Amino acid sequence: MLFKNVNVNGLNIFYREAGNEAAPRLVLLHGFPASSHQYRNLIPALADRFHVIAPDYPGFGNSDMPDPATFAYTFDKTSEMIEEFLGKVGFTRFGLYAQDYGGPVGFRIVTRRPDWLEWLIIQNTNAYEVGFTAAWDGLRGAYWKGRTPENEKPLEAFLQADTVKLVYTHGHRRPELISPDNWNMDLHYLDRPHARRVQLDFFYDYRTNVQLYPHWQAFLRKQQPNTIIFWGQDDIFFTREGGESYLKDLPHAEMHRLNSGHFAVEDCLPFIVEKMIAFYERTRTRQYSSPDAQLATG
Amino acid sequence: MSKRSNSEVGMKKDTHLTSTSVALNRRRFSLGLPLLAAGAAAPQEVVAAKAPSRDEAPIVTYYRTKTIDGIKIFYREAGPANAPVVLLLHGFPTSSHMFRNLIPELADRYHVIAPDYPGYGQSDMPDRATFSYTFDRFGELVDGLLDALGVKRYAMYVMDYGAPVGWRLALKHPERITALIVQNGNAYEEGLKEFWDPIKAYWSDHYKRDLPKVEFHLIDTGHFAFEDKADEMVPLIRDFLHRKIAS
Repeated sequence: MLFKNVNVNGLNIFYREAGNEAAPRLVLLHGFPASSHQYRNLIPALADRFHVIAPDYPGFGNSDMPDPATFAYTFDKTSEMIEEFLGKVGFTRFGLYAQDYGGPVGFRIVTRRPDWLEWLIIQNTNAYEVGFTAAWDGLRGAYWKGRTPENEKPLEAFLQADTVKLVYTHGHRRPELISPDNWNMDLHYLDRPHARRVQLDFFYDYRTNVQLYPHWQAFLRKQQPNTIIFWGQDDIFFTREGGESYLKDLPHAEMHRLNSGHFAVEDCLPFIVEKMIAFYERTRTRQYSSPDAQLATG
Repeated sequence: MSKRSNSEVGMKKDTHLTSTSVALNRRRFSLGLPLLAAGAAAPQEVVAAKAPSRDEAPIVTYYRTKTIDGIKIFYREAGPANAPVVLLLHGFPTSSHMFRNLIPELADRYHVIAPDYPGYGQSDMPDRATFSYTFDRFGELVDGLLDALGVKRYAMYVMDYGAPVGWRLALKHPERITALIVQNGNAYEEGLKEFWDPIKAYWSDHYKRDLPKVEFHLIDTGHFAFEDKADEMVPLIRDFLHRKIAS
């Protein structure tokens, strides 16, 4: 595995890379509160078959974190930066592995660039209103309706050590399988100047994703990308219904319901790798057309 | 590309080939060895990976703690409980984190244990007013952990601080040590005086003087050699352990 950096619009974007340059390309997009570190074991496990890259978004991991006063920490801006990054490193046709924030970033990119998407791996990333657990109540009920210091205060709890750890352990059956390197790494990044402000900005901006859900759903219905879904059944953030909802728009998708949580790769790695590779080998020459052309224009 | 058979890969001169066969054929849940870095690969080198075979259990690392003398000692553990034990002792300024990639490379055949010393990584860090941060004390606590885990005999991989901790264990229980892997772990005054080329020969000579049967490999890298030379080191380590301690 290589640890590389590239300048994108004046910012340093860090990424992990492995695999043969001639192999099919695969992009892994990370979630909250993590970075490409969450894919540290998945990358080498897939690198025999794919040319894999996993960037850190601005404000996360080893990428630059400009002052939030001068840089917009929004999903729109993040997706533009990552799209630019992908073009720069020559990834313009790839499988997309989207977990958590990876969905809102990745869906924005592939709806703008539908020809970039070869196939899709969905893992605990939301695109349906029924997908939110009660953990989102403070955001949905108050913060997104009007951002104030009062309704922001309780959200800071999500950035504290115990909660960050909980994101990794909640719903995972055997805590001794989850490396403490995960939350220690995240907490290290969160302790930097501006880091918590950056994360609150993303919490607030997440509302724009909900507005785009119908757009992304229509894209999936129309495009019918070959899709495999891994859904940790007891994710602290996303409900089982959120995972099942994809099947309405992607009736050919292959669904795997995992006895796991938000970061299913942590304790289901061999399963995910085996199923991903088998799925790719089986489907790479298959292309479904839209099951319903009427719906597809949305 | 040759398939890796059940027998161990020998020490090949061509580390690129060795690394490739390790990455492709032993297990897929280990290191992503940098095929990319090895130069432009011809298309025919794109090998369709097989799904892991059913009879080969995937390697799992456990993240555990045990309380020894009232101090919580964190350790990473992997591999079959009845396999020969390999103890990994970390260096400064790191923790068992430095072994995160080595552990799965050994755990198919060995019971691997990598503790954090007090004050490092995930282990307790008691106040220095009440705890003596000495190598003697680290040695005692690692010894206590091995007792608590019922480990009677073990090979040691020592790196940097791991060496002075490990040497103490070896002096206390020479009969328990089945093999030694020394990686940038010092035991000679000359090793402290200078850093680069002239001293490399001294290291080799001194270890050879005291260990006539030592196998010595100079790896062209720095302190944390495994970070960038795993492809070169894994076959050497596995071959050595296989000849010395495999059951």
